[in-house]
Amino acid sequence: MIATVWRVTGVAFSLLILLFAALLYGAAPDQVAFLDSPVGDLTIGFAVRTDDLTVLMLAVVGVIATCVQVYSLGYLHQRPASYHALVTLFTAAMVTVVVSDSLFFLLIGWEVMGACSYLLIGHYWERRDARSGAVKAFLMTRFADVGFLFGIFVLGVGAGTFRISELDPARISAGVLTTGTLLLLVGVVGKSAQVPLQTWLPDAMPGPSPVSALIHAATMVAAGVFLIARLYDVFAASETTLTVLAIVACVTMLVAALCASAAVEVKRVLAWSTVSQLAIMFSALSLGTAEGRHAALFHLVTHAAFKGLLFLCAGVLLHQVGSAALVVLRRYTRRGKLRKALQVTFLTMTVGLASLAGVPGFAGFFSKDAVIEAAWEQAHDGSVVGWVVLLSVCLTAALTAFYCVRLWLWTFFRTPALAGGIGAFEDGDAAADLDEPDTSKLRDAPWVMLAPLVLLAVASIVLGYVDGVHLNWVIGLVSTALVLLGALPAYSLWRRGADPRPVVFEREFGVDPAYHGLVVVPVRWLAKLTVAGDRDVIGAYVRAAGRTGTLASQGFRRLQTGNVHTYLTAAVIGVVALAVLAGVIGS
Amino acid sequence: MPLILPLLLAVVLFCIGVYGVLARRNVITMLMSFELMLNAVNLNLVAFDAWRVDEATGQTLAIFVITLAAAEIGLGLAIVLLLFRGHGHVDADAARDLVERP
Repeated sequence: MIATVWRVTGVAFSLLILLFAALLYGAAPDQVAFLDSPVGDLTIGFAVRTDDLTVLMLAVVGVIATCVQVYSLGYLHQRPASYHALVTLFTAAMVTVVVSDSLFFLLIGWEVMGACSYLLIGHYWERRDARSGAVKAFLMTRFADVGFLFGIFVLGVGAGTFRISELDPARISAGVLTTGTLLLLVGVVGKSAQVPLQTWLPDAMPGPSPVSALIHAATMVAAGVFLIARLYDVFAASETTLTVLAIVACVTMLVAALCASAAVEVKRVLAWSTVSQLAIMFSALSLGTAEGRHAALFHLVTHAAFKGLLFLCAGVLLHQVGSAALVVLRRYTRRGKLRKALQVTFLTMTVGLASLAGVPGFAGFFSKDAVIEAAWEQAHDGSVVGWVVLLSVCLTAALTAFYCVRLWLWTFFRTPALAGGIGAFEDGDAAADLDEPDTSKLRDAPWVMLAPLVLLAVASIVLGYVDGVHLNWVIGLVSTALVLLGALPAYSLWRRGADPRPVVFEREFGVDPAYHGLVVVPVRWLAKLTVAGDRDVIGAYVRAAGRTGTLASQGFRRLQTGNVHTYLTAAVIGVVALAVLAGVIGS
Repeated sequence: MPLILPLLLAVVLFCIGVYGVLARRNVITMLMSFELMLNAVNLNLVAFDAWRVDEATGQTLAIFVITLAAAEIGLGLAIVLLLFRGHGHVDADAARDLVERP
């Protein structure tokens, strides 16, 4: 009953957001402030605004949230009430971030999103990896949010206002501007899982797949991109911040793409590719030009569509097959069964992967080209950042094609080299690959799950054309060549039944062990030290006090003879003694 | 009348009371000794009141103490009655049920 109420509420709320986006479309930019309260010289309050960016993000959030809520009706059978309630709360928080014109109002939405993300990653809390993933995501984003909070203080105090529309970079001194934007960047890096805080996103994958689609692919992690786009004037005014952002983005996109090419689970590949694609958006923003901002937002929209689609497809695999690990899927693939049984999923996932890889004609192709074009214009003007971004995005495009083709082939197709294919994803037990799973009951998901897939698949083609096709043919050819350059090695490796995974990529560059050594171990030591201090120093005094009392009582209890005369005699002697004493002192 | 006479009488009464309480084993005798001590105090109160010749503070207090003593003796006799019913005697030294046993 409660679950049904929340299901209806969730779908209705998502549709409401879409309605708002439609109503606000074309409206003149406007801001309203309310509940202002002066604090010293400053004013802290709430404020909302509407402009093109708000409408765009509302539309993205509305579409993805509707798809996810509808999809979840068929996907989720465990604890649906809390699930739908949290997804709705998350959507509301994202809308808060999108419409707010006050940095503090934005922070509220930002933090509620983080809390919802934590709770939803841990939705299957019986599973150990879900629990630890949730805690990891919470700790890492919370660490980054400290920087975010202080960034708000620095910028707000420096500018004399917390209203986003009144933040004027010309009125803020250069040092304050750089400090403030760098601190905000820390929060953005944490929320969007960029280097060096990238490791929480792949570990957030034990959460339900629709949650991964909504939060960890399409909306929440894109909030970092949104924030920089919202405060673009402020960020663009600080050269240092943009350079730092460019370095972070370029390193992240390559690292994440390399990790994705060695991951052996569909959702993990998609998680790393999300990190990589977000870095492409950041690199476009780091150019500091209007074209860069436009390209980043364009890529954000197309990415939301095709990455949401891919995660929902992975959800179908999890729901129908029971696992999204390549080693399990391959057993079903060996007779081409998976492709035939899950036809709609296969087709939509193909569209999604093509869009992600940047195959010409799909949405991802156009948006990635927009980024490359913006970078090329900067590089053409002799900007070092432009060159670095251009090269990294090109390299990432090839790597993206590589892991997309790898994922597509290994998930849905039988490798011709059967003998070589055995054990490609398993270390020791080659026979485990041979046992035949029962595929007679394998069929496609119910239509309530497939309808969002089809919708998003259409979106991941059509969205490429809504911006108006203005294609630079040279860049288009170059990026097509890059896609081929990445796709061909993947194809040839698959044909030979080989899946070489360099250890350094498979271990994801050893970042987790390094953090374990640098942070977790010292914290554990500190905790042990604290426990020892509490138990052996403070506790010793407490125990000594107790023991003294016990010892003293051992003596005093002997006085309790039960004889009334003894007590009375003692009392009389005491009174007489006191009287004598009072007389002696008084005289 | 000089103040010293009633005060001396009170001291004598009080000492008899203390002696009675400490030396006698019969609980009823002990209660009577308590009464002696209380009345010694009453005598003091009245004597000082007469000596100061102002308000009736001491006299009021004396009546108050008499009331209290009446209540106290009622309670005490009830306890004595219970003691007798439970133990069959009214010997204070023999009633040692509350002794702390190690």
